[in-house]
Amino acid sequence: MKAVLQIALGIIAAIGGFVDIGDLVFNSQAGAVFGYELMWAVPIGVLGIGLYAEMCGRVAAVTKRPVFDVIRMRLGLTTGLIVLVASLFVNLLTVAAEIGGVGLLLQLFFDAPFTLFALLGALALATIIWFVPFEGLERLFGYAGLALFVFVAAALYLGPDWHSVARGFVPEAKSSTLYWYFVVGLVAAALMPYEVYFYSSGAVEERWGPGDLRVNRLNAVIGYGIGGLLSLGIMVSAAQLFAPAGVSPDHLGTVPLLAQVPFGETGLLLALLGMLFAIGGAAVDASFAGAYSIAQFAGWEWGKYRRASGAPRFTLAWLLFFALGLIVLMTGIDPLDLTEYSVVLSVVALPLTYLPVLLIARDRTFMGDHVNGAIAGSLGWVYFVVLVVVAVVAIPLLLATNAGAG
Amino acid sequence: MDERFDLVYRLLDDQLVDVDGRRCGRVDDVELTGAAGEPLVVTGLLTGRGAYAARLPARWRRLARALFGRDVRGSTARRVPWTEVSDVGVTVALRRRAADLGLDGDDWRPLDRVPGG
Amino acid sequence: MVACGCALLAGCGPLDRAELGRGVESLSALAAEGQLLADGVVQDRTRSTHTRVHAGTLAGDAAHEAQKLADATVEAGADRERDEAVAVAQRLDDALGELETFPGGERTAANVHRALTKIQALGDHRGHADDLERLAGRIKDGA
Repeated sequence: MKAVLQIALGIIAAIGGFVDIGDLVFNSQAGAVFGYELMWAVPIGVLGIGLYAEMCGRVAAVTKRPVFDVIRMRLGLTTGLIVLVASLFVNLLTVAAEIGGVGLLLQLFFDAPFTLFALLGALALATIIWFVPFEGLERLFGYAGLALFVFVAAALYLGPDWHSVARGFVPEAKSSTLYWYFVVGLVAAALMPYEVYFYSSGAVEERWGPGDLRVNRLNAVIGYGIGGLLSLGIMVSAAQLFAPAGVSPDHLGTVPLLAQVPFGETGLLLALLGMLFAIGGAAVDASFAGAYSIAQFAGWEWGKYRRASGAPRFTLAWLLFFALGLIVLMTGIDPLDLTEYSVVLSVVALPLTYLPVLLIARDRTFMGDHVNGAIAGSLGWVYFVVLVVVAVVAIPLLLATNAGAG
Repeated sequence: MDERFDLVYRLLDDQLVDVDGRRCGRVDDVELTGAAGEPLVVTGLLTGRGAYAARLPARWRRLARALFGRDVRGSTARRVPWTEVSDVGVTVALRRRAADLGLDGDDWRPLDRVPGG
Repeated sequence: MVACGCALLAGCGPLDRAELGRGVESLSALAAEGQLLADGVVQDRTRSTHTRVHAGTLAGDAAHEAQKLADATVEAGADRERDEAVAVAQRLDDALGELETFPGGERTAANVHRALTKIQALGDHRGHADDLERLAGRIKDGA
């Protein structure tokens, strides 16, 4: 029984960290503009993050090294420093975007100025992090984030044309740059690095050992699989509701309409609640990811399990991330613009954070018998190529499409 | 500790952990003592941001010194004698407590009196 | 994203028909979204706070688009279309603004829905001189 509970918890943690403001924005826009044609991009992203997270979790469980520990060790000081700086920059944009998202959602609930709510939201999150232990954080944001299933329900309720849905899973080579920009965006939104920094550090926080490898695998497969389902739910309902009407989801407040139209006020509330906690959880994960990165790179003591007094620099690091995120927001930049930039830029940095993990995961000196099997091994390299390609085309596409404006 | 291992791959950049299990820095540089034609022996480890500049590419060294500080023994960089190392495995385990070895940089305690956390 | 980055830069070239057409498209998207919002209020199936805040955001978009179009220099021959687009954008701003002011009123919402339908030229308002669909057509044809 305890094993079942443990697995369930892990799955919830994986879901909670998966759907963030980037996924919400890219999936709803993809459905609104391209209908079902981009469905195939979601499983590619989900498979990628599942693979990456499984490897990171396995490495953390067996070697007790979370991602940035691996990066410094395998890439050395110079390259490691470059990766650290790039990661911190992107992480900061992400934290700012997520806090902005929280501010926007609170505004939709309570109708008061955005700046005030961004500040209150950040303070509330920081307070929650301060007093709630690690497992509690996972549970809180994970459970509440499950409200996002209302989008899956909406997608089914609206009765899609299943033939078109099925066709959407077959990739089509189109000549539209906007189409490929969305492919990059959807894959990138699924593969945000902060998720794996958080996941692998969490594995060490929870003292995982080789006996937890099965849990790790189930988390990766089921947890991110469910996350993918949530993303598809958003895309499919957007394809049914927004595409025919010509609605363009350029604001966060548009997305809950996908649940409001079929299910009324209850649907709207569930959508808003789910989005609030999914995005809030992502803000927590991303700021922690930043703190984990610095602390692990420098060798400082880190981890929520050490308590604030036991890891003072780590604690100040994540608090600083929140503060800096707020400052970025105060410049007046639109959180949805921030989201686009953070998603696209993070995929550019991704290959360098992915490669060292892949190299360690297949290295017997570190992993012993737990090295990559045949599947993880070959898929691992395939994805590395995919990530390099995506990383190379990301910025040109961003510029060519004017960040999705077309 | 294995009988033979790669100094760069397995020792350099590894995490230092003291006898209480506290993380206390990384192996930012390795001190070798000897002379040309004579045995080179590992005599110590260097830890601290002051050691970064020497390891970065030459053209970035000035910028690195400005960012991370010069190598000032006792403050930006500290030396751990090799005799203090008890094992090199996943981490470099030390024989004594971080504070006793002068590695208490993270021992700054402003958050001790704040409740919760 | 609604805003075309180009319009924010000084010394940008004149707005060509393609860009004008895109501006009209985004106005159409705003109108469609406004209708979804209004529907929710008419059927009393939504929260007024959400309606108010979101209608306000959409109204702001319409006003911004109106200003952007009004400020831009247009290529020769597209002046009339541009002026009509600005007028439509202002009507859009007004309609959405009404929804923002009365987010709980079913009658207001019904009026807003009708106004937006006229702007879109759906249903039996087709052929109305100043609707978006005809405007979009004229912009494309004039090219």
